[in-house]
Amino acid sequence: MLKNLKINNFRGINNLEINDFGKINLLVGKNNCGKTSLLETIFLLVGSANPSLSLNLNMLRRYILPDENFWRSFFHRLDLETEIQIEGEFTEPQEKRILKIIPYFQNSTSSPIIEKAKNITLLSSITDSPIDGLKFKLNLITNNKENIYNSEIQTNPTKSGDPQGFTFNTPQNYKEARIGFFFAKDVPPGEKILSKIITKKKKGFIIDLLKRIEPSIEDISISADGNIMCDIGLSRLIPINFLGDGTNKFLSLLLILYELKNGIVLMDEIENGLYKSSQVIFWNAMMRLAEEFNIQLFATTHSYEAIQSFSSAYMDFMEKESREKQEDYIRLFRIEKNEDNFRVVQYDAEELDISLSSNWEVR
Amino acid sequence: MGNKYNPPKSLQEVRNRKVIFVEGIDDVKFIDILLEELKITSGIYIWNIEGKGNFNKQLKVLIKDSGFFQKETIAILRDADENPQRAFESIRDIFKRSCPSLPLPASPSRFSSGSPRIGIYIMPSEQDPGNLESLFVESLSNNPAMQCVTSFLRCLNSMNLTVHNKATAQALLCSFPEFTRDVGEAAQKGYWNLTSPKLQDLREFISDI
Repeated sequence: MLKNLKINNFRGINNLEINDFGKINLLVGKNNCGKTSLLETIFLLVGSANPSLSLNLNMLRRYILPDENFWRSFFHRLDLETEIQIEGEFTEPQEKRILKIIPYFQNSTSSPIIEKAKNITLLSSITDSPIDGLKFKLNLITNNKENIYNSEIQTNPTKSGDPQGFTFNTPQNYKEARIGFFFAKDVPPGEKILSKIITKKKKGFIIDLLKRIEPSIEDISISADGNIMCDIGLSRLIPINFLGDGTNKFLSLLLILYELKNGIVLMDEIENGLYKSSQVIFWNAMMRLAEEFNIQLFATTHSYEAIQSFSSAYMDFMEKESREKQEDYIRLFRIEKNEDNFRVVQYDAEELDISLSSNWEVR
Repeated sequence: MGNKYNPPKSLQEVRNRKVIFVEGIDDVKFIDILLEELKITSGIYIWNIEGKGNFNKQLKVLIKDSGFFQKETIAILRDADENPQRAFESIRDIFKRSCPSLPLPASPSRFSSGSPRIGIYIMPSEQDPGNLESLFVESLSNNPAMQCVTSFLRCLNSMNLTVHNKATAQALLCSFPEFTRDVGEAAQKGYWNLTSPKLQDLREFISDI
């Protein structure tokens, strides 16, 4: 579980620290306060030695073409002089990760060209120069032992008309022990995961949860051409995507959570496609799955209804499961940005409940 | 934005830079009239916390409101009940637990020098047990009706009847020409003696906000 996080110079965030994450974390705040960037830093930190994640992140932002700002966009104020540093403290197992990201220049042979530039005061010309990729330096600290792992990603030079390619260098001696999934708005339901679940005769579990949000579903299966089909009592099976975005999203997440045991799931704008009544069911299922498969969740939202559903689902979950109160189970973090100053305000379950029952704004 | 009888959804929604948190609607009505008396007609918002039990619940959450640190002054008015010092400490503890770095006043009726400035006033005073009703009674200690009220309560006591702790105020309210349910309404009808020396500390505290 990620407990604490420090971010320096990543995208719109110059300096931000959040401590005491819970099992299920909801991030709120005004537009452009850094919520999505925060999810991105967690994603990079969980897969610290996988440089292709940076590529995926820009693509999730629909930033497809590697133009001159493609790599630069990771740096605060697009300034290549400001080294990115993401620091996270984890439990299970206990470890600290410090991930530094610097620009990669194809013409640079050893140390970053920026270092040289500082000495010869050619900063402006250097920092405006094209950047060809990113270099990652992971410092992994466990049991007071430090290990450094380097990786990089670069854009391949292209000939006219060729599709853009990328080259990755990953550390040979590093095996990632953590697993994370960044759930984007339009992740299709995972047919392969469902296929595995069906083979293991576990699909009843998924159908039970799915029925809560779409009671007409009697069964799900995979067609010969690989599509997820569902039986809603009609004369023929229908594709799952006929049931709407909410059901699709719900199934996608259920399958990912099922597959991602002991992992971290990141979800941006959680409310999209879900009605309020479905949101409580949704959160309730997420809480059950997070508990059952030991998953830590981070989600962002703008929606007051999503926050209300989050809180109600938690109360419901605690009551139904007859659980004792767990201090660190859910958290809401509001990120406030005032120019370049960040403030993070944390609510636990009780504080959130008090605020919502008074109809107070927490976003 | 809410009005003085219905709190708004957030402190950020309150445009006023100074906010007084009070226990109930009587306090809202009384402070509203006292502000008028002191010619402070704008700039202060009176927030009804709706019951002293809510100070703990609500203040610790209101500190998290994005508008809290945008305020210039936050004042808290609460009843002493049996122990004024304990009442003062209970409010201080809420702030201390929720925001350890926030400068707090060392004693009641004073303001801290932080941002926002924090002030805690205990009614009827920092030395005496009691409540808003006690302050009402004290403000009218020279009212001729007080003799009748005292005799009445003495009579009740002689019969070993247990009387309500707000009985003096209720009995005193009966001496006014119009039916008045509570001390808040009494303030609106002008039945308080707002220039009483017993109200001097509170007047100074409110003026200092």
